[in-house]
Amino acid sequence: MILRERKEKTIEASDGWIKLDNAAKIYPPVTRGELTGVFRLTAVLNAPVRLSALQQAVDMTYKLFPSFSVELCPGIFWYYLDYNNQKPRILLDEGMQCHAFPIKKKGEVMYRILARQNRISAEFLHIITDGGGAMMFFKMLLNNYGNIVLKTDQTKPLFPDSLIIKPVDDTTDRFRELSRKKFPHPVKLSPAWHIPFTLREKPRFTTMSFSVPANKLSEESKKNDSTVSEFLVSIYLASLQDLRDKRKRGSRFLRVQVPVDLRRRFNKETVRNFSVFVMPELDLRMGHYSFNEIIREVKIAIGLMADDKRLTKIISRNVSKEDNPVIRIIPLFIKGFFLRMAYNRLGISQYSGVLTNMGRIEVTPEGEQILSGMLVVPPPPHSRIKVSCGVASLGNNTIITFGSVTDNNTLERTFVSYLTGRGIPVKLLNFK
Amino acid sequence: MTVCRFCGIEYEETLPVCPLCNGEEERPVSPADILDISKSENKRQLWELSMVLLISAIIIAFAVDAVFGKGIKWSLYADTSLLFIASILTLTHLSRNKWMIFSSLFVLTVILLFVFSLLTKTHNWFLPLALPLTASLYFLGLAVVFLNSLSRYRGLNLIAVIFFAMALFTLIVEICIDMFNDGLIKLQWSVASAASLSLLALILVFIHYRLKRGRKLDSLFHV
Repeated sequence: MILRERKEKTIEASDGWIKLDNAAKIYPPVTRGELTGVFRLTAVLNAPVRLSALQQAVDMTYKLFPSFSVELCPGIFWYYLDYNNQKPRILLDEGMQCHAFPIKKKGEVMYRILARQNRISAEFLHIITDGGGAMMFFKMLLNNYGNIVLKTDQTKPLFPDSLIIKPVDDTTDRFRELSRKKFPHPVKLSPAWHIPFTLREKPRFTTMSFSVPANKLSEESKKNDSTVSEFLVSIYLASLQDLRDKRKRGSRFLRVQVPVDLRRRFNKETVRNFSVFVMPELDLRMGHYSFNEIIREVKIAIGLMADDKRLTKIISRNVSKEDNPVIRIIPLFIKGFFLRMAYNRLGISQYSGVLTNMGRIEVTPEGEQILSGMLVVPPPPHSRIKVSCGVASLGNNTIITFGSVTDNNTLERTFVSYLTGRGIPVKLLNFK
Repeated sequence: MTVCRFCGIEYEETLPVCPLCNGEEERPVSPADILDISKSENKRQLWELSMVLLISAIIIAFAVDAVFGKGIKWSLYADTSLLFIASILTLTHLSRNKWMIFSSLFVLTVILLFVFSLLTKTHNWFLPLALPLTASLYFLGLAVVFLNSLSRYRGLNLIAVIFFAMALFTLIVEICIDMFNDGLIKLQWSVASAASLSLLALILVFIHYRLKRGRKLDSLFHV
């Protein structure tokens, strides 16, 4: 059928190749099996998806993001991205979410558009972009879709901050611009506690989404003198603490990895990866934490770690690894082995969970006509982490999505009970 | 506009079926299908490359032996082994039926050993040693695969079954060697190794079913 045919090259401007950015370098060696590194953004519409409009919108949008129309190629020392100027596939949204991309197949891109009923989704491999860059694409796609459906012009976008007129030529690694040589590195952390649940039979990855009124969530956060992100991270840590208290075994450090979008902070526009992780922590060697204590810990930790100098410290550490002359000259296949080992030993071991909050997505009156909700599905978690969480708000609708590779949903239930216990109504949207 | 009753999207009335899901007629293409296509393409390319390398190696070995060795001698062994590897690769490339692969592998191994016995011109070892040992090895392998397929939770019980199979195989090896050498069975070393392996297997079975029921291999050994 027409939708599945590969289109001829249509972008003339892009040619050649680009280096992977610093954050992307880890993904080619570590993505395997269900650890796909793929995340998803979904828009819930007020009406069924109009396929012809979606196809036109994709045709209009992908040309604005040439750095997404690339394929992964192995070099001798590093992977690189080769422009292939292909458009993303439009597929029926069925089967496992965040499915792997055929990264070794020529002529494929590392993002796709999916549709079903009243939902449009876009899935991206972290090699090409992060949540911030993907959201720029997705907003532009929905803008174009909305303009076609509503028969309005480009001057009435669905989102007030999404207008991209000319292709975003983005080949610079912004991490490299910010890194400083001879900058002190963050201290190495001791291993964190991991949820001990058994893994589900393959395919393991399922998601569970909950809808929460954004104003109630915001009110409750304000009552606790915190932002929504800080409030939700605190609930995540409190839930982990409850589970750890029951098990009484393993590390006494609980950490939640929280991505920080660096675009606004450093005032740099990019559609490639440009975020780092901060990790609020509970040290249970000092005893049980009350919820107020957790909120205080999280606020201090996020406040401290989200400081520009501390972020530069993290970026400089990451870039310095890549700049190490010994690492640079190691052939790719050996490097892959060591990167996998480093990812498991230094990355995965340091945190107990992941929470990514895309924040409140502002919509115009035209946007309200088309959209009723937005959700983010984080990449399938590592088999040690087991559960991850993604949050997005649109209008008065906050959707919290848990991605999980275990049948045990105690963490999700504990998380939700913290919300309902504070008078915030929670509605289960789907379980897939 | 028509709303598809299968996937729920709107499409033009002029189209005969929904272009996204093809209605009931055909299963739609999913991300998994595209990945499978990519994997099969990579597999085919790898097979083609392996065949080119193996055929080149066969020709080179034959030519070197013919030119420098004053006749075809050692290259017959090398070429037979390379042909065996090429047959295995072709078999695994063409067939997806694991039972078919398994039985063909057995036949190929027996043929390889038979050809070797012909080449060595002392083929009296083929019937008493090579054939029963190969047959028992494949039979035990088959038994391990069968028992594994019966198990709901594959963990230490799988390792235990492998240990039991190894214990049996050590006994068979010594029986075959004794019969080949003296025509008398005098079990010695194989009893000790079989007993040790069986003991280990029993401990693993106990741990799997009594202490850590439900632990799976991938969660147990993940790094």
